[in-house]
Amino acid sequence: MDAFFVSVEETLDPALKGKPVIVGGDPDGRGVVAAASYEARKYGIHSAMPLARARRLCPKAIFLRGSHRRYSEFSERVFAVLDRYSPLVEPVSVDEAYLDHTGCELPHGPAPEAARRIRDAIKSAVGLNASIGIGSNKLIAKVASTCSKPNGMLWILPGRERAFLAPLSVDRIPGVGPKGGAELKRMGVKTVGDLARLPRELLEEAFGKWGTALYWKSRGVSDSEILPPGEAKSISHETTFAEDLADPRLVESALGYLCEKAASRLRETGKVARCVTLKLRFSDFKTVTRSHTLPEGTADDYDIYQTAVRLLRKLFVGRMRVRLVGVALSHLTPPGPEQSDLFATTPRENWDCLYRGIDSLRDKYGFRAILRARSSLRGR
Amino acid sequence: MEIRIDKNVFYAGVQKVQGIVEPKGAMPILAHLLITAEKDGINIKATDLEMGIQGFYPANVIKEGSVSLNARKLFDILRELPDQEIHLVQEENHWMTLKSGRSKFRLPGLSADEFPKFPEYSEDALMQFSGLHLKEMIRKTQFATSPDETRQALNALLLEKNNGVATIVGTDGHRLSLIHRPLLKSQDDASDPTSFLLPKKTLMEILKLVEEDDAEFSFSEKGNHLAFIHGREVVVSRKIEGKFPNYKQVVPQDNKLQVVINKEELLHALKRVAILADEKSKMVRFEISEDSLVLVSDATDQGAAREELTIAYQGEEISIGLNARYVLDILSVVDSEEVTLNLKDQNHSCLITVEKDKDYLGIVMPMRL
Repeated sequence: MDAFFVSVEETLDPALKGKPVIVGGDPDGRGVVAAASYEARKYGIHSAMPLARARRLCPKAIFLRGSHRRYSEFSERVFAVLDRYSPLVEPVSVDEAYLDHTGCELPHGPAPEAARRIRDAIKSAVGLNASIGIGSNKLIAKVASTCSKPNGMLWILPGRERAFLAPLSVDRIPGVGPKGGAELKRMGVKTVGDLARLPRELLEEAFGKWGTALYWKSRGVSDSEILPPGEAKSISHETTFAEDLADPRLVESALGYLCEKAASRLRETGKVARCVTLKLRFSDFKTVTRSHTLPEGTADDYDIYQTAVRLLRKLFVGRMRVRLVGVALSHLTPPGPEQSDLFATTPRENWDCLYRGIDSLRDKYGFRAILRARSSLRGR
Repeated sequence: MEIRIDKNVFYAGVQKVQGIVEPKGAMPILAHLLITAEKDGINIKATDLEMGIQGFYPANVIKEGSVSLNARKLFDILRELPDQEIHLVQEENHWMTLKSGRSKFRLPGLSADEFPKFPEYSEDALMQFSGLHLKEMIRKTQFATSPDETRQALNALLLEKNNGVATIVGTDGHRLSLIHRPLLKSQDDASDPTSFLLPKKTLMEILKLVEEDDAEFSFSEKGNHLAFIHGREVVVSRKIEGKFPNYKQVVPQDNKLQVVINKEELLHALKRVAILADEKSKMVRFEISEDSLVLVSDATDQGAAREELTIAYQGEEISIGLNARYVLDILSVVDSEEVTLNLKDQNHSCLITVEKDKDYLGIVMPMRL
């Protein structure tokens, strides 16, 4: 999807169209750009840039806090369209997916024809622009789709892969980030074509396994399969504070909020978690994580919070300032038989009933409709 | 110090303290035992600072005195020696020579002054148990305690006395085992604290001390320490702090569905079905209907098992999931031919009783399906 978050905002408020719009939050805060409209990109603003810098580059830009709820809703509608065109859709993110067109020629026509229909269908059903790249493998399709943006379509004919990639800058290859790109530039490699001229041995000697991968990618060869959406392996939430916190109570209440969020998402999946991981980043950017495995799986805010806070109290001692706190739930399993407790004062059913109530309130009125008293809204 | 002592008497005394010496601890002296030769015998003591064990054994004392020796080495030597009188003589610098027939050993001792102070205890008996009952009470409750070291109170057994009757309770929060037995003697004074928490390790040592059923054991309290005394043998232990849960409240009073089952049959059938139960929960479903008990473990990675037992039962149908391990633990300590499962419904605890012994009961909380 093209500038997905911004496009969603534009459909909801057409007055935003053609203006520099930035989704990401308070420009006075310490957040980063989540999405920028093509108008804003002209000022050199791009994703992951600190908001303060974006504002310096374009003071008249419109800053929006954004709503993940809204974006996932639009994303679901887009994916509903995709599912009509192929039985095998691999979601990469909220606004990106691979479709396997193999065997779909009969109902939907050859790939370019099907792609045109998909773009039309998304435009009419959701009102958003999509760009599509067609290729003989995922690598080519991905690069082609990037090159076709905004609101375009690019079909790379089989056999033309290497020629298509050759003039592109090496950092257009998925998996080549700023670090790898810089390393390659130092070796005199600027384009994918330069890369394809290097012997395999040299690349492997310099980069090991990654070198082998580069050798094949530079030739447009990729055997990565299209995978249907997998089950989540972990659920995590974290937050960076507006200013570093020295007061453990404030960190604990922020952690309480994150635990509630994570537990709520966990309950949506119908699973329980056996492992709770706490993540802390201190003001010096030193980051530590600590995990605890529970004797039995749980999806209760309270159990998760108690475990996380115990880990926090072991790590957060003395004169430290915390920049970020996060919690992750893993070892997710369907709930098994649960051993009841002899001395429990409240029967298990009552807790289940309470959490069902909380979850349905949130479904209707939003997550913040009901919160534990200790879960502060600080730092978000 | 110089003594002559019967090998088997000496060996038995040294064996009794092996459980608490720490061969590789931070304090080397704790790997030692202390031998003190008095008028007509020797006193053997050991401690791990949490608890202490001491015993007195008759010997021909030629010269009084005391010395500390490595408990493990001494035990290993005695175990291998033939049944002959042992001659123990103290040399210079706390070295000890041990002679038996044509064998001779030299052991480096440590000064008795270096040995930690033995915890103080009282000779004033609050309760008196018969060896038979004490052993039985510990054996029938200690399996139910929690292995979780952080839950101190559930790590221990609760001992209470009331009107000449002692009660011991063990629980880990999921199951419970309780037994009452009459005391031989009890000092009944209303102002006395009547309940105590007994550490697990102490109990294991007491079991070793109980050799004869008609032996008498006194229980006493002093300051932070509890003691079990049998003649001149003593086990002293530090008290456990903590609050034991209100066990009386969880003994079900209205579990009206009673299922009487042959104990051996249930024990073996349950053992077989439990082989294929879920590794972690060990859950087996008890499906009870007219004249039939079906044990089921299904839908696990391990496979599925089902076994039917004929029982005399006319009540309503009920199905309850129980941790097989917990039920088996109780069945293995019960000495009667039949056991009764007293149930209410699938969400309430299962009370296990024995017709012949109204003073024992086990409780197992169900698993929620």
